[in-house]
Amino acid sequence: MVIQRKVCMLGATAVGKTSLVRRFVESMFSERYQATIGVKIDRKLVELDGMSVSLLLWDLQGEDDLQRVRLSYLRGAAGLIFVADGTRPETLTIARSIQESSREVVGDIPAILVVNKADLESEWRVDDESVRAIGFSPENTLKASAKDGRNVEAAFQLLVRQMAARAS
Amino acid sequence: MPDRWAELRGLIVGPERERIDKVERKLDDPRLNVDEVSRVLPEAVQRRAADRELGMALGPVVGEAIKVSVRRDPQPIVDAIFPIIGPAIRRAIASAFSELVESINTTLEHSFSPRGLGWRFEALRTGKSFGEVVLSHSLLFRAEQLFLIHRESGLLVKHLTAPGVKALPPDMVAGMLTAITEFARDSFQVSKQEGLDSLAMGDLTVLVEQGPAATLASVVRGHAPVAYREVLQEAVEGVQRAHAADLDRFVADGVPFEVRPELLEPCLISQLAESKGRGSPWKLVVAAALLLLGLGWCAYPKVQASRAFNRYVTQLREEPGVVVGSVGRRDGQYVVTGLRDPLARDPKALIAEAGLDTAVLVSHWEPYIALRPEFVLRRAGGAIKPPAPVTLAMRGDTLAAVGVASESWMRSAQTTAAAVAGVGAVDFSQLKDSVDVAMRATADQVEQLRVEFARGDVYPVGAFRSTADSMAATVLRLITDAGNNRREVAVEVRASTDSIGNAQVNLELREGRSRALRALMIARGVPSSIVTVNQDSTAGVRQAYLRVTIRPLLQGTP
Repeated sequence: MVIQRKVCMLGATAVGKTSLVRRFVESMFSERYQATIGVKIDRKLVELDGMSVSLLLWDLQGEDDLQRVRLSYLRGAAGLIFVADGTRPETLTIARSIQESSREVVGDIPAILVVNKADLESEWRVDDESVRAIGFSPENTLKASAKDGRNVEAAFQLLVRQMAARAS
Repeated sequence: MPDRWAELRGLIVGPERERIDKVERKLDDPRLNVDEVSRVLPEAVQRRAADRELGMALGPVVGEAIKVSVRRDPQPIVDAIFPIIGPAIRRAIASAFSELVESINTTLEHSFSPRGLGWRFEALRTGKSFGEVVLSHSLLFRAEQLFLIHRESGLLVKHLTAPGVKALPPDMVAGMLTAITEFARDSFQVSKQEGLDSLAMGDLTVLVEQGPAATLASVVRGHAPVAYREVLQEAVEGVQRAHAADLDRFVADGVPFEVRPELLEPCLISQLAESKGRGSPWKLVVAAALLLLGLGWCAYPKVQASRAFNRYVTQLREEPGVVVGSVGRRDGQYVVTGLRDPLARDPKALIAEAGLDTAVLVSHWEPYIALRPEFVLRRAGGAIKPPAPVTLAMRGDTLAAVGVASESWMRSAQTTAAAVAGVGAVDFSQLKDSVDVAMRATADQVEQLRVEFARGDVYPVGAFRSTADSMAATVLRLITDAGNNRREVAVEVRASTDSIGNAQVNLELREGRSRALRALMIARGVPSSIVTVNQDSTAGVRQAYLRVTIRPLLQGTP
């Protein structure tokens, strides 16, 4: 039996959301969809404790000064993945802002923060303290790299584990 | 005391009292209110322009105002809308004209095709209008895929496909379809209850029916009738009723559940009346076969007659002495005309050979003389009637004869044959005179006879007398025949000896023996003038015999 769950990926523009999933998911739609309707849907199958979970990943267009995330796309989501760029502290702020907005639509659902570009950690301008400051606990935060694949699978595993814990 | 209180009150609150009185006067005076409102109204309306309530409040008032204005004087309204009414009318006319052209095209297509005629017959039979029948057959569609989607999350609950349809991963398609719905809803500010009704691309339409918790999307190829919408509505309502709890649980735990098949299967219609018709091509094949058989049955005799006539004409063209002029049909009969040599085969004999019915044939033949060698030969033979031992042949245009014939026939035949059409020359050089042949045969008999001698003797021995009698009698008969046929006969007597003895003796013996036989001939009446002697060098036989020569008499000989 395969369980289906809707997961949304959120974050500032150019933090690497799409890069993060590109090598790890099953894609059918091109990235043009993000530019046109603001979202692209991919699928990620996660095996956890003998359970198969099919994650329908709604990869939302990034938020910046010019455009806001379409919050209506969050409806029905069972989990959220926030993505920030370790070299750009402002992306943490944006992630925090989106998280607050998302609560109005989906309430308090499992969410994790993925700080991308771990391969450039020497150039990072965010630290654990700044992550904690925006409300994400260390156990819900992962340093990952879309470039070398570090912690990407682990991020999906972490979210699925949290969703399973919530469901039980 | 009261006055003092009143005075004190006047001193304390007098100015305020005056202001209150002034305000009361303003409020009580409608004229003053209008003035105040007129000053603030434009700004107030401008400030609340984006407010829907203001619009809703003003809508009926403005509508009524327009009505009153038009009733009073329509011209200002006409002037106001004039710039937009022209383009609007043109656009409406263009649209109507386009529909009309399309309608005419459709009608023409349906009216003059076999299928259209069939539909007309159906309309007559059922009493429906032709338009209804065309519509019922034209509304062809096929539901290729069916998505039952959890409305809020976009997660796929159930996916069905028609046979032979290749589908992309349906869960991702379902998600994107939901995203598009959300996008449209956000973009065009419709209420949350509203949803996407359909997406159309060419002849493919995605029909969407929304329920409170589930969305049913049907991918339809072709033009689905309105009734199909109702099928989808009933299906989504059925799912809502039967699986409300399952849908709630699904969004909470994501665990799939089995949808009752009878709820969705009616939506996956893959055949309608037209496709049933298409599904029975064998009927068409059988009908076509029967039609062909019937046509063949009717046409077979005519085809056979036509083929027989063609065979007949072909045979006529190959027949010697027949020249086909014209061939055709007239009044249901075959007609053939041409030229025919009387010596050629009768064309009527060919009719039966070709298997043609004489009743359907009219023919006319003009006689002519064919110059083909076989016809010239037959014609010459008929003219000169050669006797049996004579054989005629054509070499080029020369008539040649071989055999034995009388001189008189030859003379007559030569003249006659030269007059036959196609005979350029006559060659009778190979013909033998029958008199010569007969006389030669007689002479040959005489030449076979021998008179024998004893060794060294010049007088005959044995039955030489009777032999000499036969020889002389025959020679005399030849002389008579020669006299009757202007010929002359010469007789040469030859003798031989054996090889014994010397040559001189043998020479003398040969001469002696020749003279002895000559004397015997003369003694039996043969004129001495025609009998000469000669020697035969043949050695080993002691005999004497005759050699007879028959010659025609030279011209002028008495």
